[in-house]
Amino acid sequence: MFRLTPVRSGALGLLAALGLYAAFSAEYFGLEILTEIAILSMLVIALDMVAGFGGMVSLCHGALLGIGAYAYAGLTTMTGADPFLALLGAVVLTGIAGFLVGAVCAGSQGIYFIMVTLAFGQMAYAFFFESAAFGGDDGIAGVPRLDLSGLGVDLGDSRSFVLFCMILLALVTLFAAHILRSGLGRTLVGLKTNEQRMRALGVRSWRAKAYTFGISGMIAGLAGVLAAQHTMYISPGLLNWTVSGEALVVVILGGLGTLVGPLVGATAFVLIKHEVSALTPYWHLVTGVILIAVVMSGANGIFGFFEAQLERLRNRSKPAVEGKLKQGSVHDA
Amino acid sequence: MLELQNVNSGYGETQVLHGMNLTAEKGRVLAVLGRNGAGKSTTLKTIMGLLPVRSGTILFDGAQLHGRRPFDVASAGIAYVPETRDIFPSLTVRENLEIAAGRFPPSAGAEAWTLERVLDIFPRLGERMENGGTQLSGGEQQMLAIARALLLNPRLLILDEPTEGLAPIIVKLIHDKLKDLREAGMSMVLVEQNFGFATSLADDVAVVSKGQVVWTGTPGEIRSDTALQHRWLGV
Repeated sequence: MFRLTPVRSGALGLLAALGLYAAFSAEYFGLEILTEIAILSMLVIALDMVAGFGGMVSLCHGALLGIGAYAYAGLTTMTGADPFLALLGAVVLTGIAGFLVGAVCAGSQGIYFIMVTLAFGQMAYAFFFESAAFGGDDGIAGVPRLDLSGLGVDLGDSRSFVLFCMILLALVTLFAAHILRSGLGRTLVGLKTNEQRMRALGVRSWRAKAYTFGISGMIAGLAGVLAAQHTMYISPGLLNWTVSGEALVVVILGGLGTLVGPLVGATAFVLIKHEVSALTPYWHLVTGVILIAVVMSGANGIFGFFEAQLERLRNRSKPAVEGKLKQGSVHDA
Repeated sequence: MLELQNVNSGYGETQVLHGMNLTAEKGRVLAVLGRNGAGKSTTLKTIMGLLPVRSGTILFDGAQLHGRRPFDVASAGIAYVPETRDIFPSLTVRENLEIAAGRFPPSAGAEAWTLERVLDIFPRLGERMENGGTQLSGGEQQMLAIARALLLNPRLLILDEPTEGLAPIIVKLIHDKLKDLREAGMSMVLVEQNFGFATSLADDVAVVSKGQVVWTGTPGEIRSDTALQHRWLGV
């Protein structure tokens, strides 16, 4: 269940403002980084839906991203489909793939769930790596971007493309928040807390999980389409499990199950990667140390830390009111 | 309405029910009594499909229930109020109710249970709608668990020790509400340790010991037979 608290709407507004400022002020290299942040954000929102809200830790979201990218690239370069239709087709296809993975994995729990999703991911990776039709380990080059010249927008331009990605990211964030506030969001919380109870309340748990995975897959697929359009070239590396692992790191770094946290995490992760790798090739060591520090601090990621601090401040500023409420609501039963 | 014939069931390698035979009639309240560990809660979990039936038959209005999954049992029209209440702590009272509301249609001729209707029964929940599941007293949690079960529009309500650990005044309130439900024609199976509570609500009584029904009769009979009470219930 996602709750839009003032802290969260404030954080979303701040991120949007910073993003827009960067999109209009940055030079070419900055725009590339911003695009990377937007695409990674979309992937980790998809992952947070299943892992953070549904308790289904997935190691196949890299593969879902890759399937979206390959579907888009395949449809445009091989069948010559209209890029807009190819985008829709790729999103639907990845949604179906996510639904199937969710339906099959729904029966397993914990470490087994992670392993089954990993198996799915590696199967997809191996398929595209070996597939001659999809270019094997060479991948597919010459992937076109959407043609928005009808609207007077040239997506070949970095600034237009990053704004395009940010608009889609904003829509995806609102969509995910809407889904997680709906009945499906409540059901997910219930399944995460006590699956048996939900089953006794008449919930077909596999179906709720499969739907969530399907929706999450659609979002990951859209991220894949944007990734393919961004680099205009794709390779099986997109589907590697390390992409899924990295996405999981980002979600945990930002704040699991907060929807806003992963956006913060993606921003922090990409910035750290670029800033630190300019200084040392051992940037993984730095992100590793930061991740360990965040996890050991006991806070729910970077965003969870600030959220807890702000909530504490808010509660401290109105102790008199709180005290009264407590007195009025004491029950003996 | 609900019939268990020679049911064997249990947890893992431990068999708890040994040839359980039990019948609940439509429009009546069946109280299942017995000492701790007799198999009362196990019986309810087995009915719900939360524990596997090893052998035997469970019929609900003539349809086979054993071997079916919990959500099938729920959709067949049985709602379960567990001993642990199982309120979802991170959801508000309203969300805990909405999780069950509108899932199943009412049976033919019955009026559908809505949020308004359950809040009419438990107005206290209405005052607590935006409170989190952890901010409720034990009594309020029990009311919420019963309200949530009613929203499934059940034909049979099964309750596992609804009075456990509650203050006497709340026990009386729950008693009166369940009595109203009984008068409105709701069929119920009630597992209880509270002898007075159970016999005042029930139409029929079954006493369970070591995973079997050892006595059936009316509340009046068991109330007047102290030897029987002493032998099977230790009261």
